[in-house]
Amino acid sequence: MNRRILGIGGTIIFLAALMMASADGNAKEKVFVIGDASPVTTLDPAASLISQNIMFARNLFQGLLRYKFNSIELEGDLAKSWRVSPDGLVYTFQLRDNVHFHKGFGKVTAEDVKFSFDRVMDPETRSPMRSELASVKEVKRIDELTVEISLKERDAVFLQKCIRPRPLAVVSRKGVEKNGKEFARNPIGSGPFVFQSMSREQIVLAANPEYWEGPPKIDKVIYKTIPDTDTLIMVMEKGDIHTTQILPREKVILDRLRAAGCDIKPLDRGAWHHLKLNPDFKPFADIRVRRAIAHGIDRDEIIQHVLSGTGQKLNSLVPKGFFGHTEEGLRRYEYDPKKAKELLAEAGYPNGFEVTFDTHSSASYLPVATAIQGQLEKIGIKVKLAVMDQPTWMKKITSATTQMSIYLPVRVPDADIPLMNFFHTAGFPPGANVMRYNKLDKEIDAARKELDPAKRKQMYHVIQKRLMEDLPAIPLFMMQYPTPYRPDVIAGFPDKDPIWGFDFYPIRLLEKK
Amino acid sequence: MINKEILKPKKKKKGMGKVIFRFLKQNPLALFGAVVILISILASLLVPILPFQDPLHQNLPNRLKPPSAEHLFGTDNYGRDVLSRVIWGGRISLLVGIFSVAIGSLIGVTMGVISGYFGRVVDTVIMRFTDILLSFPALLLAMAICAAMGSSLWNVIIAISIVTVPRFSRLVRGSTLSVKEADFVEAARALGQNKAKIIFFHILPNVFSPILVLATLWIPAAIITEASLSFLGLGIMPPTPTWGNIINEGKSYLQNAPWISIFSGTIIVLVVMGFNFVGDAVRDAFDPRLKGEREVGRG
Repeated sequence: MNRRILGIGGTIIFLAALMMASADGNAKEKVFVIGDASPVTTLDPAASLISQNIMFARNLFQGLLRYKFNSIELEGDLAKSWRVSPDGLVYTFQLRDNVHFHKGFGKVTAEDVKFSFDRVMDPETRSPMRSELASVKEVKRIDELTVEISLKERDAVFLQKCIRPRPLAVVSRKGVEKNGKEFARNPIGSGPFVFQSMSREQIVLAANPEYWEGPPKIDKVIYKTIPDTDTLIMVMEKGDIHTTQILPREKVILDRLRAAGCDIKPLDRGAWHHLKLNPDFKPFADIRVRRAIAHGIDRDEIIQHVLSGTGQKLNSLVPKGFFGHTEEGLRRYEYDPKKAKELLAEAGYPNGFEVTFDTHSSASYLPVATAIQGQLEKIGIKVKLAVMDQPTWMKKITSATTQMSIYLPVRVPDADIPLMNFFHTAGFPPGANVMRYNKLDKEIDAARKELDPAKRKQMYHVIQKRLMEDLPAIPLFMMQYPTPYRPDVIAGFPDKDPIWGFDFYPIRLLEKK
Repeated sequence: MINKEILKPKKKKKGMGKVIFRFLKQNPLALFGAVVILISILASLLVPILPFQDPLHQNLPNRLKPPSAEHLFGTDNYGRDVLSRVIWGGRISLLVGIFSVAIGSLIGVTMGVISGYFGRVVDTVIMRFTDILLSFPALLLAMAICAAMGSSLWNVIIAISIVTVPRFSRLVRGSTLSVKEADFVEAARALGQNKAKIIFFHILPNVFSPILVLATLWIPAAIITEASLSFLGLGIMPPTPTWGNIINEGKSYLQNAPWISIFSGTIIVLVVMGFNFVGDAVRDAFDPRLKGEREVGRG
């Protein structure tokens, strides 16, 4: 008997659900679909280092501050207002009163902000962003909506470190405590979108109706993982996805997409390609070899033919557009194969040597790596490409087990960030300072503590000069991201964005005529 | 090198060589296959001294150029000469095909003969192992092995050898079982010859013909498997050209520069067909029921 009642009850519930589902379908959900070649590995903002993870972190979570839409100007995100003490050591943030975490996890309070900071700074969390918060001494809760952050030393870029999602996104303390390790697959934030489901193939986010600026104009975001770039391009042509982030910078392919009705925005992300060399591999410990390689790479040719002109030569290890960048008076390494060969011979490698060149299979990496391989071959260096998936490649970088690799980071546009990441003792281990360069630690630290922008610029000029002499890595070019989207379907796409990904909040879906 | 290989069986087994030659003459498809194989092997052996361009030499301004007098097969997305890449790629593809079948057949034949001759527990163990290997689709097994071991030339060869092993061991076990009961083996045993001698001098020569047939049919399968692995990015790493790599790199440009994939694809089809035609011919030549050639039947 009981079973029968259960059965009937179940059927009724099932039918009701079915009807509700179809009713939903009738209301026409506005679904925004993104395709990408790489899978998202974690949704925990304290663990995100890979670009596509960052894209999710910035839409699921909020920071204290954020960039204005289409600009690199800062504005309050969770913070309504903020104050800096005259000595530059104490920052006080006043939080907004009306912000709530997803799924009923309560109001965003000073307690959660403190918890989020402590979580990233705790060595146990193993957050790759920990070094970026190295200057923080203590985060204090003053009252429910006031946070006071005191620094160990002055930090000219501290406000940049409060933007979402990197290095800091505010997580729900209760959410982390409740979900524990599962937090990476079931995140609780306060951003405009709420996490719904995650599998190998896709991630689904739903609009957050309680978002403090008002509910988003789209109901759902679906992120599809399509590992094969060619398939991805075809799906984009067909219109099954509305945008994708990484494409080959290949004119024929971009033209194909334009012909299919896509608009292509050349997003400038402050991303720069550079070549990392490991001094554990003997030839690279010799400055002459490093210089030979710098002279052996014809960047103009790569920009013109491999990147279809979507790159810009970079002659400093601080990228263009970053605070402090300059190329004035720096040693230049123009393409000069003859000089490269001479330098190699001088260093004792008249016949070159063999080296393994690590890269991952992304369309932003492999074509560039292959072209460099061809060019180095011409100065006598035998290059064996090792193409791997992104996580394996990342691990080879952060453990400095790579011999040579290209690297295309996207960072907050201030000289301090890349310098700390790549050319300071704090950048290893683990980290991306493959050269384990430590000769400018003091200068880099001093520049961060200087609050006068003009003086800071001066200090970075000196640092960049020294870096180009020592050449711990070889700067190649700034990379643009030609990002296709369908103008007949979506609006609100950014023109400019200094961090990875983009905000889904301003996106609107247009009614198809 | 190549002449020796052809000559060897000729010297030892004049009858067989003659028959094959006669067969080729009667059978134009097999002749075509033999010529294709010969040309492809010669080309890949001689390519270092032939006046082809360096397959790794890039010329970026000259990329994606259609076939011309200078580049008969056109150029690829890095301005490399597709013709030279296809030939150098053939060197690797054929090497993988022939070597992996050689290794696979060596191990497979050993396992099969031991299994068939000794029977009992040995037979059960070896054959169940063979069953396990056979239960996976060939390409899937090769992919799994390559993914586990990492991709390099030798790993690909090992992976494909492992795939071919069970085909040989199963075939040879069957043949051994029937030959084992033959009178001349019985006689050898009665004469007190030891087991090794019986296996080497009496059994192996008599199971040789089916092995040869299977090998000629598995070389093209191995070539295809290698191409598939490379196409999927699990085989030999770029920029080293192999047929699979070339097709893979070309597939992004199918609409704009179809020559990259089409030429290498055509060559794969030709060579694989060549091996299959020859394999079929060899099988027919060895099959007494088809031709009634008594001397062939005995091998």
